[in-house]
Amino acid sequence: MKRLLVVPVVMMFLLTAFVPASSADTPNVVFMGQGQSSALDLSVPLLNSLPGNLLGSILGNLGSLGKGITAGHTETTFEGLSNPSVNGLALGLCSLLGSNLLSLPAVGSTLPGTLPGLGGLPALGSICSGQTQATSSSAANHGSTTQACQALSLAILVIKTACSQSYSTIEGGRPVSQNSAGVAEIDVALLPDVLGNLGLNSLLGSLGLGNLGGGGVTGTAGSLPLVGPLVNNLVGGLLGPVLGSAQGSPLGVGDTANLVSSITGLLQNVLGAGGNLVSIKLGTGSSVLSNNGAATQETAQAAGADIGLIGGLIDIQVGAANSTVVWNDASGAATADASPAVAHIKIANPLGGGNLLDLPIAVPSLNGLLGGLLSQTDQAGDLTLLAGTPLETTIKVASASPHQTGRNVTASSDGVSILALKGLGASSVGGTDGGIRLRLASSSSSVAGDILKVQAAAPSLPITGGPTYVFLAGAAFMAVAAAHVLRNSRRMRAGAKG
Amino acid sequence: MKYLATPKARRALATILSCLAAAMVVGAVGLLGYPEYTNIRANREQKALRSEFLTSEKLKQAYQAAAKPASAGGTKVTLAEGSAVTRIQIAKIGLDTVVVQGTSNQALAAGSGHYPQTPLPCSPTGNVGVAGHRTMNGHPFQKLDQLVTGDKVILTTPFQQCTYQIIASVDGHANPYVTDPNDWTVIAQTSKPMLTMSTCTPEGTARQRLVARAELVSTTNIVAGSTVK
Repeated sequence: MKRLLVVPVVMMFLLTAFVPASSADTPNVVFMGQGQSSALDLSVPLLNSLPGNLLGSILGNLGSLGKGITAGHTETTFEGLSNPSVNGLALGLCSLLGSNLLSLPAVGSTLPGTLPGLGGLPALGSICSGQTQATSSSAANHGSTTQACQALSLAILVIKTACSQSYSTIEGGRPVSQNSAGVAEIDVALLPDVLGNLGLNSLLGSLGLGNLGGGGVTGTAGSLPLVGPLVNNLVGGLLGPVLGSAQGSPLGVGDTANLVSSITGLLQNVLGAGGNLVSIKLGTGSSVLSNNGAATQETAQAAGADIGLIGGLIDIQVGAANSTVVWNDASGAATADASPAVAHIKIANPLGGGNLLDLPIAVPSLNGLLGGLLSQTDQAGDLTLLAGTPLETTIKVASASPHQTGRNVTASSDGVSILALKGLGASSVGGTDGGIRLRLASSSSSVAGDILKVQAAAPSLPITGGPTYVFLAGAAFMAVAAAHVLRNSRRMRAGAKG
Repeated sequence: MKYLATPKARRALATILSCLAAAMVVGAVGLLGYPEYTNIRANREQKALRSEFLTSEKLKQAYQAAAKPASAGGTKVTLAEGSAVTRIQIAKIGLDTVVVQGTSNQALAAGSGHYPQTPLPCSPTGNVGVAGHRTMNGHPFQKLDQLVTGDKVILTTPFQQCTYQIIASVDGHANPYVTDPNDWTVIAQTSKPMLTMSTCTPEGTARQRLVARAELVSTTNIVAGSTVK
């Protein structure tokens, strides 16, 4: 009886020879995009002023630190729906990564003709700490990795607990990814180890402080000869008027002496006794790709930060920056949204009694209010502190901007960038390319796509070769099967009679 | 098999199996005879087409319109799919059949069809395309692979008889030649007046296409006073 089942199966096979192949001409959605967040990009050009042999002996393989580090960095690159794939990357800390690892087609470019394939994420160097990467092109090969928190302690740089986590998969034909990374705290300090090797004077000289004009300030600064001119510059040129303004009257001689003493002590602590030149506390950055079955959303969030400069004299607080793009499958439309990081700047009063300044960075006009200590340098709201000194620090105010051209959208939220202490370790006397350069809480999300009409397969030339053998084989098979069935029928009939 | 325990049930099942066997025999005969059926159907259709070919006014209008350039007021006359277009004769392989307009499955049931996107037969310019069955449906192009350089192919229209000659090579390769089933360049227009014939290969399959190309060598008017040059 079972063998009889073969007959209808073969019949169906034969029938398929007469059924024309259907032509696929259905709409198909393709899109690709990326999300990226960096809690912190930091480069320390001032280290370049140190002698190479010293830098090498202290930092070892991390001699490239002066090129910069990226901390709390996450990325997602994705592609769907026709050929879904997703890459996720999270790293706590890496010193070689650029800020623009992957890029989408230019906004406005024709899609999908110019859609590039997903590039592989960069090979991470061995000096990256707390890095994870997961790639998936189907639900079957999802990737999930968690990097144990790691710490990195160098002579002048201390990284505390760099962690990362990455998960990527394909769900329902759509890419899904969750990546998070962060560094709890980064401290940059001019530790006694360094100072002991070089001697304070030569270090300060190498940092450019020796180029300050001579000053008449005396007192505690005398133990650190080159700090004297710096403090004198600060007090006489900038902090004095500000503080005087805050008190309602010009500073008296006694106040000035106290101010000089306080700041000198602060700098002595920073430069000579292990205090932190820069101390950064970070949150966790994330890049999350999700969908609800009809739309795909990429959200990148860069962690906020709390940055202390010069032993806490200047404190900058940066909120989280968000950028989101949503791709809708049905409409083939994408939307973008971004919210900037909100930043506050605080300048502590060296004489005590709270903050000298505590303002949102985005205050429209600060000129004059602070007697020149703080000045707006352009219409974008960039702020400059301690202008004209080696400690000149420029803060670029956060901004957020969604861009949309057709089905290509990009949302970016440029947190805050800080070019701190630009004169220290500059490539030339009076230059401003030194110091410590920070980019905080930056995030961007992009998606581009199109609804395609899948091209029907090119028709072939007319089919003029009928499969004669199929008919002959089918006839032969059916004849044999008929004989077999008939034989069984006769046996059964004979059995019924018997 | 408990249900087969009784003689009555066994008899009933035996009857069913007998009926199934009879149906299978009918199916086998049908399958065996289907290729031949297509040949018979094509031959009957050819008889009707020969008559139509000689009398169709629409066909004459189409050729006349094709011969008159648009600048001279000529307007294209579209032939219906399946209507007679030309008669093709190849003495070498014993071929003599009427070619219909179109290359759809329905049109090619008559045996051979004219690619509608190519010029009408005997056109003094361009590449005339004809597709024909190699198996079933009269299999007019069954022996297309036997053509060699110099073999003559004659196309007859209501007004002309044109002689084409198989050329030695096409684009640097032998002629006839085998090509991809999606290779539509076979009917691309040519600088010289050509005839391109295509069929399936290997015989009995549609995996590839066999193509033979011939060049127009002479034209003879067969109707006195024809305006066709």
